[in-house]
Amino acid sequence: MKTGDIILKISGRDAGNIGTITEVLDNNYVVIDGNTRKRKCNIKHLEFLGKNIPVRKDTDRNNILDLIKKAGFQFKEIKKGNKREKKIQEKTNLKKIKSIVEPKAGKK
Amino acid sequence: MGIARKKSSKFSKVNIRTSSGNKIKYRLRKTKASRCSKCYTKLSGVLYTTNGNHSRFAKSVKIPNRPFGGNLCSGCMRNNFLEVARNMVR
Repeated sequence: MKTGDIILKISGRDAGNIGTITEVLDNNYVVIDGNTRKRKCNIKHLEFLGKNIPVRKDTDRNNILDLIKKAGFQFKEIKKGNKREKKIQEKTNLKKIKSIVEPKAGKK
Repeated sequence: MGIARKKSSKFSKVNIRTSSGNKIKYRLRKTKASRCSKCYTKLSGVLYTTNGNHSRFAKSVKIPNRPFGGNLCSGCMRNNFLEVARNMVR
């Protein structure tokens, strides 16, 4: 168990997704990143795939994904929060339009 | 003949004895708990209601928020992904 080991998450919401170990915290716990969420994780919930990539604690998520692809693993990338961002933008735009068309009550 | 609305398999007929004679009533059948499709154990964390309130709840309330949630138990799901991992190494 070292930093840079490629893993597959077996349990939880991210089960079936590939990532790497970015930091070893303890005999039982590590920090993972990659196609999963960046989070603390128990070793029992991981399966090691037997390959290693040069990764540090601060490396960017996109760089990690490229390195995993170069190691010979294929996967679908998770899109993060695109739908939610669109909804928030639409709501803010609507508020702006309403505030222009309908002035607040009480003002003359 | 009963009411057309109550002829579906959701309802069951119940005989009730009264002083004037027997009466037929319709009552809702109880829903069964969903089970794992591999090992047939009862699934925990899956909602099952009797009164047809299923559409009221959000999807995240009804089933566990993981792959194969509501179809496989957590152990069978884990074994499934272990097989996937071992095939990747080969």
